[in-house]
Amino acid sequence: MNTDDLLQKFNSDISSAVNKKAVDEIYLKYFSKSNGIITNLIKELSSLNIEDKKKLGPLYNNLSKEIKDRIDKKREEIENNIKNNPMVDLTYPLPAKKIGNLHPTTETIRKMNDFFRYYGFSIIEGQEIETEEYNFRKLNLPEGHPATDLQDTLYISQKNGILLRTHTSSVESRLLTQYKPPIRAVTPGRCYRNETTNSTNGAFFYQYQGVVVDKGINIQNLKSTLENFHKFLFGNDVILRFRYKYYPEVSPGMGTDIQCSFCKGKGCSICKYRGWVEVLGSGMIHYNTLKSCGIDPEIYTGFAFGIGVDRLVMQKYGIKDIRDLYEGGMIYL
Amino acid sequence: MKVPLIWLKDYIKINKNPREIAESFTYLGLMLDKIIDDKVLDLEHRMDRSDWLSITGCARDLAAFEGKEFINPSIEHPDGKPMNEESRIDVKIQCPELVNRFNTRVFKGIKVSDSPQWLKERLELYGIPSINNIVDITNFVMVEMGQPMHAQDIDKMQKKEIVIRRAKEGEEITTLLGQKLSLNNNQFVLTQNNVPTVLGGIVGTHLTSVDLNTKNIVLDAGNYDQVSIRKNSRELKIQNETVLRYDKYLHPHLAETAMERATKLILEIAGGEYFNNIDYYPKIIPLKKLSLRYSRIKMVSGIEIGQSRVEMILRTLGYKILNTTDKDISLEVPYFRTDVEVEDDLVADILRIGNYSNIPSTPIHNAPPKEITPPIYKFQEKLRDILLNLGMNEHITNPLLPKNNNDIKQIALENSFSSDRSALRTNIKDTLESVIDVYRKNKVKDIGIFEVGNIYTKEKEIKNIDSLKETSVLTAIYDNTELNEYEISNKLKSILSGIFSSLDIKDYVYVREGKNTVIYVNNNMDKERVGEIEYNSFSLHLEKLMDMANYPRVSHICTRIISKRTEDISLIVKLRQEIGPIYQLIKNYDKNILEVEVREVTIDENIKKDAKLILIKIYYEGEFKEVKERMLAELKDKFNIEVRS
Repeated sequence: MNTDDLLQKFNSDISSAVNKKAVDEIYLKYFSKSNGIITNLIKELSSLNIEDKKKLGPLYNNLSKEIKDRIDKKREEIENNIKNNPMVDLTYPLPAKKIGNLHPTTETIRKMNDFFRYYGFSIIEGQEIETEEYNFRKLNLPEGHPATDLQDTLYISQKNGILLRTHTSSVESRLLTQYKPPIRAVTPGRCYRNETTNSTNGAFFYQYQGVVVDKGINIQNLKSTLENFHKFLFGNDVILRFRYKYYPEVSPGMGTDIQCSFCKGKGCSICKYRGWVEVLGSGMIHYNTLKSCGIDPEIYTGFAFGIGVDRLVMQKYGIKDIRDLYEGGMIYL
Repeated sequence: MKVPLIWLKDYIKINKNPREIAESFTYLGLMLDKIIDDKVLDLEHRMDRSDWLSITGCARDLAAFEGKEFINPSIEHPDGKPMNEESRIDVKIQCPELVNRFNTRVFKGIKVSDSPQWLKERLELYGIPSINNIVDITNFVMVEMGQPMHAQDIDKMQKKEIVIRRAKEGEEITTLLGQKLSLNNNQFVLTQNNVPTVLGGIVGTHLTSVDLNTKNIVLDAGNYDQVSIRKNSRELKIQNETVLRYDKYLHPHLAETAMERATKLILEIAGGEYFNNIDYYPKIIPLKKLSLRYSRIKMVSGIEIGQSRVEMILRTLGYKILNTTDKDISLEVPYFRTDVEVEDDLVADILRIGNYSNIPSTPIHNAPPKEITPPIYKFQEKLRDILLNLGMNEHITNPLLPKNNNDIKQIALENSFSSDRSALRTNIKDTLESVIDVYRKNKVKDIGIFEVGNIYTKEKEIKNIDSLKETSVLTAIYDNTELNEYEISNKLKSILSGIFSSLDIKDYVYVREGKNTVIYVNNNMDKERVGEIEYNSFSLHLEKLMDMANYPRVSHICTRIISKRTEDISLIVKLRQEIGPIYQLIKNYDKNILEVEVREVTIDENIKKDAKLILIKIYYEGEFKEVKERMLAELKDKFNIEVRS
């Protein structure tokens, strides 16, 4: 076939191509490494004598260049056609492809987990059905201790001392009993109390507990951990206040407040005119707690902290009633 | 705890304004509870410190914190007369297990009248109305020192005795507030002539109460079993200033100090003279002795605090220092600090008085220990992500629900306040389902929701905690008011397939077992029941599923070109024939079969009566013709199938 015939054949091929795929096929027809028409022509050159080579070489080269240019041009044309297609109008959005939503509590717990994972904490949810031993006794809460009043307990069997855990500290006593130090863990968990539910307190709620036991752990480490944690949660501008606070399972105990972001500590209705909002309870794990869990408190020390998750969630997501979170009041639109 | 500032300043000379004082108290552990007015602070009281229910207890801590002197209230008074036959009020304790101490004193020739202004003012600022000087003094000493006290008019007593005994079942008393109470044997009463005059440690009656005509009184300061008062007052739903203090642990020594203080005030304000009377205190409880090592302060706080500073703080707080060495201090814990149990509580006192703000902050230097996060936690998190990718919304629902007596596996709660919350769920759908209604009310049509949570079941009899089980479950519900059941079930099955695909679980079957359709996963030789499926919901048991899952999943990674071909087959089967077994047979028939899809199910009388037409697409690789013939023959044989094409 001479070059003119070939060009003619190519012209008819290319004019019938209407989309990218067709152009790609034409490209392969002429230039495929194994069996392209032009590729073959150029391959054949090597078997010709020097005269023919001199004559046909430039001719084939020009032909090859011309065809390649025409293909590029066609590609551009098709590209332009797509852009000019009146049906392809990119200026208006359509509804989203459906993706699911994570519950705000899970979202918040994940954020907290992110921080603590980075600092080498394991995550342990623990069991919700507990014994008095792990929920109270090992945590330095003997029977009739006034602090048990703070947490009216839901019992499954009072006779057998089986209950629904009233706080995630029960996981602390389990952990300390089960593992040998060093221990570093956080517990995001469901807790239960025998309370009549209102907008801020539910019979079912989430706590987030942290525990560290090792040699040489002191209250300065607790302060540092909590400072970094709050900066992570609320930003670097957060102002914290540490003060003594009693909790039976720790001694010394420590309460943590953040300065009210609305009034900057002056006192307003949000912070009940205190200027500060209480966020967290913590302290050095009680001597008796360590002992009752089989850890020598003369060798190991540790700290623990507990934070109410729901209030943080409600604050962040603008949810006013805890019942909306867990009693089916909240949906995603 | 309300603290009238004028009263506080009886024990500490302080010039700070109320806000500043409130701040100091907050650092000490008594956080400001309510808006300050200029005269009274309301401090949030934690349950440990019984002395923080007294003004002197609060003042003593404040003095130590501010570096000021604490001024002890005076207990100096003229000596009383010895008890004689005529003055004696007999004390008989018939329930010694409930009464640790019962200290009494007899006052004669007193003049009951209005209280002096200073006394009235303090009580009223605190919130106790003034009655008369004697009642006011008992209330004053209670708030000042934390010891409830009680005065009875001797001339109103038929018998000159106070007998403390357990109440009889059904015995009735009428309280000072006019409330009629029916008592039981767990409670105890103060009686005279076998008539109850006081419900022990909880509330008094009018029978022997002091009025303006009273001349002679017997005053008592008791110390009772705290646990019993706590239980009884909760049971009777009585909460008052007396109960508030008696349900904390008070040292019996307090009854003595308070008696001296009250004696001084009565003699000063109401005149008369006093006779010593019986002080029942059979088992003297010694004051606790502890030692505090400087090394322990360092161990717990990381700070070194000088010996003289430590001693000074302890002294101001009322500790009696017995001995000091360069390593430690031995001391006696004062009677009002019943909260102090261990050495670390002393460390807490040192740090507290030094102000927590002054403790430095130091990161943990130790290397993190080995991770012990249970695999199931990571699996749950993974599943949440999978479900989100499948367009499903996560919900969390309260696992407490009403009791269902027909559910033998259900765990019931013994003491729930609310019958709506009297048991634990045995499946998640029971609590999750209601969320669908909220979506429907909001006119959302295409709803997929799920919860990753626990279900709770019990064995027949609860012997111990091992008879109760928590199981991690994922439940998903799909709802769409515009679709029929068949379409909804298809949507739901594609969500399930998405989960299995994400977990690289290929060999799963849905098998009808009685009323339920059960999900099995095969793994080598094991066949594990991993869940149940209904037309609009499914539940998966996560521990079991986890064992079957493979991730990171690998089998979907492909690095070669597969010459995948397809073949459609149409089968006519009986109307009631389940497609699952047919699907399984085809899918597992030959290794060249890559995927099998049920594309369409049609019920058409014109094709055949009582039959349905199934269109199945088979993706295969390599040779299939011969395999297909064998397979169709087996299908015909096993399921009585008619092959259409």
